[in-house]
Amino acid sequence: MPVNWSYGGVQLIVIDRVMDNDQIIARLNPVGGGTVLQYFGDDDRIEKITAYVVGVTDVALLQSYTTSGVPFTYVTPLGSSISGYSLKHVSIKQLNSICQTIRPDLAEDSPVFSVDLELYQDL
Amino acid sequence: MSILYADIPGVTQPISITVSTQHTQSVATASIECISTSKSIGDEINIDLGYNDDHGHIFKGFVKQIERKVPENTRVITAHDVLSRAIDYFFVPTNPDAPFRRQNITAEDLIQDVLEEAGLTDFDLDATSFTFAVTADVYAEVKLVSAYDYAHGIADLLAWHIWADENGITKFKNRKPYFMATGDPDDNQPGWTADTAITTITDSTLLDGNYTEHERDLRNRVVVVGTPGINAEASASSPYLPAGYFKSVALFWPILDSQSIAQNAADYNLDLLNRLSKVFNATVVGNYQLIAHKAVSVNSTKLSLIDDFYIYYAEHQWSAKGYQTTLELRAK
Repeated sequence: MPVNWSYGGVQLIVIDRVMDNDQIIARLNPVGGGTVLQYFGDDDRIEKITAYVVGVTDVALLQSYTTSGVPFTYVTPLGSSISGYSLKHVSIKQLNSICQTIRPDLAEDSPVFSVDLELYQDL
Repeated sequence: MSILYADIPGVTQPISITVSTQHTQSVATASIECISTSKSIGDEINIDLGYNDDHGHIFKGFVKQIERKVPENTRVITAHDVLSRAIDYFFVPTNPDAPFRRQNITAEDLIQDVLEEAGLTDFDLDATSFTFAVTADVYAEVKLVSAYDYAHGIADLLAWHIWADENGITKFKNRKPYFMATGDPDDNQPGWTADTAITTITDSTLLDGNYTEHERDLRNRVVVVGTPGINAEASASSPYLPAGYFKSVALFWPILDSQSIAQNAADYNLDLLNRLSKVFNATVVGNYQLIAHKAVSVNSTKLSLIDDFYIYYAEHQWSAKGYQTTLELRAK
């Protein structure tokens, strides 16, 4: 049975995913030309996810995750289940819908939301 | 690519480090922003800075201040080098008639005695050939003055210099605020040693720079006044001032009771002050070796500048923006 995407126990129907990894590198330019690169450190991963979420309960849960400072477990069907992702930002847009079939375990008239999540890896 | 390196025992995850050393500054200072620290006010602190494959000890001092910042939730530690103990130590005798005092004592011994009162223990003091309070009723009395100010006053009188190095050793030497090269007017003074450049700054490490000459600090007449009847003067014409025009400076030191020593003090200070200031301000790719009181060579095609310089001021800035060193250099 395939594993669903979820964050903090909230089931996500993911339609877009971006993973950002950064090194912190300073660029200095001597008058003699060229560039001197200096490595200061690295940034832990930032995940940006666009997904559908069904039901006001799950949406409220996501909203509450932006106030606790607590990292939650991020599960993907790609074999990773990682605890230690903090929700930096969530943007919620309610969609026009009369009947939803995305989550058969919920009522058909449950509201459907499009959410943008920005998750900071905090291992 | 260079990998930045910083090691400060007792400090976790430094975010930015600034270490400042200067010829005229009484102490070297360090400012460290970090995530957390086990350091407390008064603790000794050491900084090793540079790159993973090339770094070195750059600062030793004491924590003077710890600041907590929000919303960053970081700590900012301010530290001063060991001479801060001498700055903070004020000579206040319980009985004003029985102050700390010495007689018939060399300048270097007097400085050591004064600084030891402030708790300093590691010294590298050169012999000066200056002796104070030789006559029977003259004493070198130290009261209502800080240990540093008193020792610094003696150094100024002799045209010498006092500072603490990066290892916490207090130095008292014939150190001029410019590159010291054989053939200078002052190269026959006691303790005078020619400078050797520790490295060469070229266009491949120079980020920006400007070269200036000025006569703002030039003085071509020096008057030294000691105990009653002891005074000396030294003067010389300057090619940068009108004929017969003198910019004067006076030094008063009430324990100076020898005419020959007063004359030496006047002559030494004239050699020190009767010159142009030749200043090269530069920012270079960070180099932990560049600390005030050392010497470097500069070979810049862009500036058409090839000369040797004394490091008058050096500030090391280490952060996510990179590691850079800002310099004020003085030629002979």
